[in-house]
Amino acid sequence: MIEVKRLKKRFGSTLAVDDVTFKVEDGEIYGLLGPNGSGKSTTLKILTGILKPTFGEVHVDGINSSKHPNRVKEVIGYVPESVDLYESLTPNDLFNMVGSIRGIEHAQLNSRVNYFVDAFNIGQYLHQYIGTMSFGNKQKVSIISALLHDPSVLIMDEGMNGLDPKMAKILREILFQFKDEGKSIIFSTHVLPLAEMICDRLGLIHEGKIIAEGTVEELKDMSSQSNIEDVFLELTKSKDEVLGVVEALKNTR
Amino acid sequence: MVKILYRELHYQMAKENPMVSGEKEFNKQIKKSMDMKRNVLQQSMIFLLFGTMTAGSIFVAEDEAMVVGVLTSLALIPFVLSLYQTTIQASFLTSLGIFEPLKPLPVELGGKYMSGVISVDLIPGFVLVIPAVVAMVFRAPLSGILTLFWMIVAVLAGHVIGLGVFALFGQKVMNYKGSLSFLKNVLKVIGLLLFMGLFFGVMYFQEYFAAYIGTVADYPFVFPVSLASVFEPLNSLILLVFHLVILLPLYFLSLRKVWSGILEPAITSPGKVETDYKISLRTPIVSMILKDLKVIGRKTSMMAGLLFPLYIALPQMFLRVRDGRISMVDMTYLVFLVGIVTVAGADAILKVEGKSMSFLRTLPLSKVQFALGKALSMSIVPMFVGVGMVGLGVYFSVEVIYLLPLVLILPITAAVVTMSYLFRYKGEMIGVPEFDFKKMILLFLIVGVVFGVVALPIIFMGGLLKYILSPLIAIFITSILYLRLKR
Repeated sequence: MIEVKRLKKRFGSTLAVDDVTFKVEDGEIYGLLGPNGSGKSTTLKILTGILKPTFGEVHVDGINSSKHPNRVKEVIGYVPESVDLYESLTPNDLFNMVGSIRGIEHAQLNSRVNYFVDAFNIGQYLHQYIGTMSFGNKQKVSIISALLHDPSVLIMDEGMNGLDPKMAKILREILFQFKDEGKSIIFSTHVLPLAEMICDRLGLIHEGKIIAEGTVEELKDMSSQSNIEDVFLELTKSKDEVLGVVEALKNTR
Repeated sequence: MVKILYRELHYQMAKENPMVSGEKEFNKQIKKSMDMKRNVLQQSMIFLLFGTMTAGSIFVAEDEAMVVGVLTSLALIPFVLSLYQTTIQASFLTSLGIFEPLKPLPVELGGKYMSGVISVDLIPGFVLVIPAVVAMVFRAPLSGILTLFWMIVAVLAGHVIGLGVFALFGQKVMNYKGSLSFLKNVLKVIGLLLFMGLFFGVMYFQEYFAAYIGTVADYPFVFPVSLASVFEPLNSLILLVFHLVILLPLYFLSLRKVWSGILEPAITSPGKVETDYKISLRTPIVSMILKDLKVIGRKTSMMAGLLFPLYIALPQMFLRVRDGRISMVDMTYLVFLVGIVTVAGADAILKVEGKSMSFLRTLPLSKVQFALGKALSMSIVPMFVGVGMVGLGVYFSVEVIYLLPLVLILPITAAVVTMSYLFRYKGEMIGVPEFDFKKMILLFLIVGVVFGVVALPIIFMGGLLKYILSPLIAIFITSILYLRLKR
């Protein structure tokens, strides 16, 4: 379970996260939606113990992430937005390194690597240097690295980036499997239909604040819109702005 | 453009620096570290201080032979610094992706920008020899001006060889790790050593010719011994032109090769591809060491930086083996020297992380595990060098074997002192602390003091006990620092 209470993060004069509070239950997929620069990634980095909050508290499975960042990292699987893996290592080397640092048992690591390598179909790349792999394959390696220790909480920042439709479907199935096992998942994305498809609840973050929260149906009711894209534009008060730009573009053709 | 790239490099470095916590401090730090003029000036001042000390001997030296002796050894400093800095920085700049935004732009010879950014860091090394040049100008104006040009040649030669190492060994990309990867890496190291050893080889031939042909000794033809010609201006000028005629085309050739390698690295693949997962679990620290060595194994030019103790030890051992005399005092001095230069390896071993630090931060890795892993990684090469030296020394004098415990512990002590200093901040955050020439010199001094304490029994005691007591002191100091790091 994840509990975020009155979270604030300030970078100099910029308040990147402003009084964010939400909760993700066990066995729930929570979607964090928001425009670019809205504070999604910063919130997720605080949850994972990578950044410290300026104010507020985050508890992951009852562990305070700012007080015990390494204990939180032990229970979390985190797929960051940008894939900055060791380019000079092979996925085989990287999985062994991650397994060693996380203290995963021999048999468990072996079975989990083989399971995910088959699922994501990257067997032929196991001994290829990561630096020479395509973006999509790097993303698969990043996802597998986050899943190796069977985390009880999974945090994915734009986790579907670079995946082809077949792999995206496989990842969705893995996420549903995690959910069925009672694990908490936070999924941040810009792809609104995807969020609608997989998330139980959505939190809409705008200018560092959670401006709306609920199931897709609740958000539709809240904004009186019938599709999720319009819900997003309505709630972030950007619908008129977008329509204006679209109109201007049409006129310049 | 160089200024923009320099700022970007230091911005990226400041971002990974765990000593900088909080936005206010970060902003202050990036403002400081991105200030090119300030950095160069600050580091140059320290080097100037060292340079002034050495220049004194040129003033007081009575004969010209002594002066050229000092100049020749002095010229090796900017040469080695330039070589070291170029090989390490070239690899680091590329791994940080500094040149990625330039790739889509119509840039003719982008390698010149890499050379420019690296050259900024070569200025302090050059400043070190300025007092000697000034002293020479007072002594013999024309020779002084020639000395200045020879020192420029020293920096240029180191830079060209460094770029050459990077272009030849650091840019080929192997697609897959084949079964012969380890062997290939070993061959790369040997190739690298031969390449870097070219100058020592040439120096040896110079001595050989001098001894057997005699007349050549009056016309030393290859840097750094060619510096001996500064009191014969015409000969010196001819030799200078000869060096520039060779170095400048090589420089532009390297720039071209470096840039084409950045734009499109040559990728090779083995015939057969393995698809099985080969599991190998280790403790976090061992797995970090293996990771560092694997990454460095692929970044050959970075390996050049890690092999620094070898460049110090090899010529010294070579001279002693050639003379057939290896005394215990000599060997003790060399063992401590190799121990001290372990500090320099911190630069390469920290820069291994590049942009991947963000990935490492997602793992539950403690600061002490990270720092100790780095300390042990940087100790490996000096330990092997030391063991090799002792092995060779035993052939000449059996008692050298008593130095074996020191050979194994001194690099670890130096590395743990280095990491304790760099990771002295509170908290568990891991990252890449700033490690510039200023810090390197400071750490050389700190390690020097620590080694002074370790050496006390050897200096003041007799018998075999001193060879037991001395390593025990080193182990004690290392353990204290380890516990402090763990706190």
